[in-house]
Amino acid sequence: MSIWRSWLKTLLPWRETASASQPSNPSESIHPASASPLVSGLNTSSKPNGSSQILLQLEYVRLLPIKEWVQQTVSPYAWDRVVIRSLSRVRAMGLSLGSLLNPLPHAVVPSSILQVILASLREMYGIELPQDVLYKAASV
Amino acid sequence: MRVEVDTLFQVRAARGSVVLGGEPHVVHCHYYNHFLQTSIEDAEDLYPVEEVLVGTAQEIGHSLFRRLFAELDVRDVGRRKALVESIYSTCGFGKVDLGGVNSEGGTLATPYEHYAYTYVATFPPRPPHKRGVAYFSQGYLAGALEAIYDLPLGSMGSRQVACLTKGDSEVRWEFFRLNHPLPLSPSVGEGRYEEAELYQPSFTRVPMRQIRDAVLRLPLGPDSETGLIEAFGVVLTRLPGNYYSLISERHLRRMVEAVGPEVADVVLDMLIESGHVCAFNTLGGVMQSAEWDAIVRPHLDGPESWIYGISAVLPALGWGIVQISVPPTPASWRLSLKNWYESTAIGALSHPALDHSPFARGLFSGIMALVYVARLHEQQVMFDGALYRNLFQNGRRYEGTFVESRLAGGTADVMEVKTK
Repeated sequence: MSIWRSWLKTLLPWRETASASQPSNPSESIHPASASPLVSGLNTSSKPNGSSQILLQLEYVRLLPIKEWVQQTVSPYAWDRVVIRSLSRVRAMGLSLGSLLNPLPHAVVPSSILQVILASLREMYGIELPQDVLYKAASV
Repeated sequence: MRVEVDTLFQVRAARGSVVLGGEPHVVHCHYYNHFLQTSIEDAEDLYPVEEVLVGTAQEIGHSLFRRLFAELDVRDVGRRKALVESIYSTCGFGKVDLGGVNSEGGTLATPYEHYAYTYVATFPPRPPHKRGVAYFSQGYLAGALEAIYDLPLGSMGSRQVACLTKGDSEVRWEFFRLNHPLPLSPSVGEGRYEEAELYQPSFTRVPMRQIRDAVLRLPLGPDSETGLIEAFGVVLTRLPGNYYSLISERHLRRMVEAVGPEVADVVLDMLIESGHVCAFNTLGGVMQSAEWDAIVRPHLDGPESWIYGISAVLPALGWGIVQISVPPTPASWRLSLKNWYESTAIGALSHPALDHSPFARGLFSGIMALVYVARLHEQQVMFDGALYRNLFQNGRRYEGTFVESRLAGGTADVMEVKTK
């Protein structure tokens, strides 16, 4: 089994210098993207980008392009996770579970719901939607 | 005190299980562990997920050590602590020193804890507001402390106060006595177990029992410094199988209570997906490992033989026995499961929410996809996001269904996996 021994320890160089009294989040650069097959290759960010800010000024948006992009780009189950993560807030806004899970092609939702979805994506995967997806969502 | 924990594991060949302290232990990898935990954690705005993730581990830790101390007649607190520390490492949970706790509680800290260590090594950073990821250890150690000091189940409270995922240099928990015990129940132990021989199909030369026995002898031990088990390109744990089964069951129940019956399908879908994640990472890693090449591959030829081979490995992981009485084809696979750990645990509950094992549905679909789509028998593949999406994307290549389920009142677990 010795051939497996050393690789794990090499993944945590930051741990040697981290301070217990001043916890801080590790930078993204120390995370090996190749070790995370389900999210590697994505443009990750912890803050909203400019285009999403512009989109949020719209009154209504379509969810289907966002769902399709999330499933195809992040992972097959990512939309389900986003739905569960967002459910309590979205239900309080009056949207049903079914409408969120399976949005129809021309169905629109208030952009406030989009904000919740984007926040969940940011929190769960550290990602922002690309501009072309946002524009598809905006084409109501 | 040095404790040789390996000798305490009891292999129950007729059940396809490996038992310690009355608890069947199963091997899983960190991808599966995190996927299942994160899927449940996603619902934290809908119900208090700690009650499921921590409480279930506490029940199991308490039952396991209470029974083990009695079996071994270990009464001294120091020896009990040493035994818990040894088992914690042997199972790949990490390293822990119980010197700082007593019957009133105290603080435990470690730089090596499976969930925390592998999370920061593998996944993007968690948002700062989220709690640490070491739910299982928190509950398991709380239950262990109760057992060490002969306290009633649920009398020890706990909280995680530091985590590698929050940038801390260690994982730290606080334990404290509660005035009012938590409403916890003893573990189901070996549950509604059943026994069978590992069937040797006449239509293959793959020696099922020989492979199972060889895998059982593999030294899947922890690193002496970290207490973590690195093997097959992943990080493994030998976790009590009842933990996985009961958190799945309880999560489904709590979600239906919180949202309504319409949420059941999406919860089930996530549990099925956990089977895909497991097949992809754990079994995919096994089937491309040096150990596989040494033990199993000499007996293999065509794609079907890979299905027999990996099926023979599963009892050695403690998951139960896979019986194959009809040769699989690229279009379908019919199989029986004996003492499948999820069915056996949940079957011991009265009126469970689950009426079948969703994990099995995803797992065996995943095996079919690995063999017939990824064609592992022909090539080395890269286990990356592109392959995962190819195998399990919307409109998944294979779908597993239960033809008969013990959890639905049947006498056996029988599955069919078919192309979609």
